[in-house]
Amino acid sequence: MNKFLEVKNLKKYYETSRGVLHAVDSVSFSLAKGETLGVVGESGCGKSTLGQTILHLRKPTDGEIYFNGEDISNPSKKKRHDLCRDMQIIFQDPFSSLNPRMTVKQIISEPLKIFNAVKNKAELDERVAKLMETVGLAKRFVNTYPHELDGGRRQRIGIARALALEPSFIVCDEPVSALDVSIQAQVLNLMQDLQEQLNLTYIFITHDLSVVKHISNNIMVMYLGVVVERTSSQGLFAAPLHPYTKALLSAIPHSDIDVPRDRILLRGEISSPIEPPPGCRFAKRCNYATEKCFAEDPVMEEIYPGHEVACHHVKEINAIP
Amino acid sequence: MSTNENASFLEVKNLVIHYETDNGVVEAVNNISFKMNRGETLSLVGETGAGKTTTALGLLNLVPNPPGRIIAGEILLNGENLLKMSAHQMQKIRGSKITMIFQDPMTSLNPIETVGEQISEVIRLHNKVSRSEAAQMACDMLEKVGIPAERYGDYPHQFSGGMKQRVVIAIALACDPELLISDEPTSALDVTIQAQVLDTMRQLKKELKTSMLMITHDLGVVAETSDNVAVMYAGEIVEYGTLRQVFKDTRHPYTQALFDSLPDINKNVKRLIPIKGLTPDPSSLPNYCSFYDRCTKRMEECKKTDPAVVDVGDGHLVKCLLFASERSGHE
Amino acid sequence: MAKMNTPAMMAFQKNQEKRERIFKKKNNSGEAASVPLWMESWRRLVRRPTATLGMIIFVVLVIMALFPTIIAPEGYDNQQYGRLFQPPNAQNIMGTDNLGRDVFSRVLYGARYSMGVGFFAVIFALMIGGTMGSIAAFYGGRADSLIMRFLDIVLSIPSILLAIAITSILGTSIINLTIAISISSFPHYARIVRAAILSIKEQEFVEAARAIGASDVRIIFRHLLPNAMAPIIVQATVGLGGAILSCAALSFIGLGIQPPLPEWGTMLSTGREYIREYWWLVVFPGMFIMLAIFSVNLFGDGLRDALDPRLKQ
Repeated sequence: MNKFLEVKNLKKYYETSRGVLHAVDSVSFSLAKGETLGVVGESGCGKSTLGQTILHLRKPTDGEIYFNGEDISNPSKKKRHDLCRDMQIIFQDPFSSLNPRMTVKQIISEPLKIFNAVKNKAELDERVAKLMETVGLAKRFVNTYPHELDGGRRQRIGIARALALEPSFIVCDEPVSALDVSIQAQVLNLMQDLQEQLNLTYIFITHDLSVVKHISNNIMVMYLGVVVERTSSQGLFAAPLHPYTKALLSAIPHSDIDVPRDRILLRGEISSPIEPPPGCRFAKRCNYATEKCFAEDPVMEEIYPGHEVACHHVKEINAIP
Repeated sequence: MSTNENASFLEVKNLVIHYETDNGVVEAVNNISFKMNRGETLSLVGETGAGKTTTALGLLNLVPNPPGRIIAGEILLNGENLLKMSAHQMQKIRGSKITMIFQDPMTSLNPIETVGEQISEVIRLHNKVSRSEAAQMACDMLEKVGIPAERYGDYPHQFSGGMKQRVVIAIALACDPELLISDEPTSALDVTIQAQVLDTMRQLKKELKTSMLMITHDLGVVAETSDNVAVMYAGEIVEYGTLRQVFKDTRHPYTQALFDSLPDINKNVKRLIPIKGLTPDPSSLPNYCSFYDRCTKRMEECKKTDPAVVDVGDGHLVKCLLFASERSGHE
Repeated sequence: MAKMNTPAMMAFQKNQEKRERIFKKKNNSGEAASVPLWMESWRRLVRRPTATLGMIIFVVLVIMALFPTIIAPEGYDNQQYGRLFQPPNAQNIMGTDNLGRDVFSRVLYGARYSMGVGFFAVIFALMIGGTMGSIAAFYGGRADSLIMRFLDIVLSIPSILLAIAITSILGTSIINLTIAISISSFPHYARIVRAAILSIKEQEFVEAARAIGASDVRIIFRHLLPNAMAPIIVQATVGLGGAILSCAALSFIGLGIQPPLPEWGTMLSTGREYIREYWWLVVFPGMFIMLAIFSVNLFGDGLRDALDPRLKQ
């Protein structure tokens, strides 16, 4: 089986004072080694919770996770600790994801120390130097504090820390959203280079469709905790099928002034993920919603090979026989 | 910057703003000049630290002082120099003639007053109208920005992010300003919500004929909203022109590099082309072209002099030696 | 937000530049020369004249407390009946007391007791309060509510009454006095530590530490506490003033340090009987209590500003 990571019906609910919040609801997908899965959605769609739940930074409410064929849905404390070696995360905010009281060296070497991955100080220094070189951080920054560096360099520290234990799988949680455009391109290229060199598998979480386009093999679009569409990167951009994906794609302001804009404006805003009523979560904002959409949950359906959509009316909307 | 002297609605001439800190002088805005006509939207585009926000604060004379100080320049609104005005006069200008909206709508809204009250308060501050008239006008304003008037009595926390930003826009437009400065008005919003808000702003602009200074880092937003564009880098305007001039006839290497580094859903690329290096430190800018260190088209001469602004045709201004030599070659 | 950030950000880049210049590297990348964080705080601190004044007075008092045997002209219990109630003069610059002891020497020795008790009281309070506050904030839920309700109960008893009650139960001794003062003040530290940790706990670097497999203990000691230090240090300095005052007050009413030991409050208490004729028995110890608290408060305020990165210019 070529399933490096497989997630089945993963659920993460939170108890709140106003009811049960469905952050992630029955999400399933699988991922082959060396691939990148882009997870796209707007704030509150559960994309970050999904990433953190897979890494067991949050305890899943229900569902199964298989990593390298091994069931890690309910790991022991020890197992969970050991999983850190294989699964890592890169955070969005290079300002708050680094401890301001630690130097670059201390930050990068911390995972190595926790796992006793080095024998002595000389080896530690060597590993840190090697990691800094890998992510393109000049040696002279080894004793600086994060606040002395710019956003791009800080994000490189975060990447070096994630790479320290030589993981095979990394969740990238909006790694470039806080960076300037020119720096964003530097970091994205670095992440692609690393993937090729180290055969890494990524889950790339972002709200920005244009960022995932060229970095992902497959893309999964989420809305209010559920997956609404999943297909290859090219497939999604060439022919989005779900009404939400269509609207999301058309909403991106693009810089080519000669490309005509046929914008689909959505009504209203994201509704509450607390105790969602039955039916399609997107129905309230959907231009095609019918009674059925408010009554029945749509299920993922394979419309074209490798292109799945959860919509009752996908065939009519896209004029598919 | 320009030689013809026909009176513009807003004209900024040689504006210089510094922040004087204990550790030295941060040159945030360096000799910026631009003009705006009535009803037009000008975008200031640039990355973090390019001096966009400082320029906007300078227009309102709101640069935090200390450490900020407007060193030189003129800001002419309808021919009157705002920098020569007293604090009291300036207070009157702010709100009635120029207003500003910020990225984070929460900082501009009072959490313990209903949004309707906040809008009508602004209306009554600038117009001689009764309480009930102001309330009526506030309701109209809410409808205009796409919020049902029934929500007049709701508090800011009852609104979502996009709705809050609409309220802020309503407050800003309530006193019918001549110039609206928007500092990254949609950067904190989700794309589908951003699309809604941008759409509303476009319609309002058409309807009210308000001039707008749009500050953003997002070239896509610029493309959708602006008539003219000024690209800022290290406190200077490096390229200025109409939307088409800047986007389709890009001249400055920095502008070109910005476009190249942008992931675009309409393009199929395997790798992006980043701009190498970092923006220069605004406290020790070089005395030559500030983009030199990162420029792919740099020449020997670029390190010798600070390039002058060149008109490459039809008011398309570029601050780069490439074009200075090109033109002198023609002459 | 953007409006507030810009100048701060720029000033910030400015700092970076300065560091670079030390290394004479002419490009816009950062440099290895790194100024430790405490150095920057120190620079901000000494830039404030009031804080510096407070610090100087405080340091002088600490030196007095540490080395009275060297500085003081006489021992604190050197009774000479030939010189009772001498007003300040060249020999005894603060005069002599009812038993003919040199007031200046006694005030110097007194610094040791007053400030020593204050200092250790703060340390104990910080240890108890800090642990409780960290546990409450880190684990949250039931642990949090239990600890916080307990603290509420302690806080609802006026601290001086609590201290009086404790000393009367335990008996009067220096150690008991210190314990009494710490118990009556630790809830304040617990609250400060809890609040600081709660705000830091939400930051991503804590999540990041979890992702690389850091244990709870490591997260608390490596990531949370170092970042919570600023408010804790400030509270401790300001609390030191309060502790010195409590020590003097308890001694004054006879529950603290007993004569002949020259604690400032004890000296006030003894001098009180003679206040009409012999003012110097009261004025000098009183002045030193005031000076100590004054300097500690100035210093604490300065520290608050120096350690608060939001005010960083």
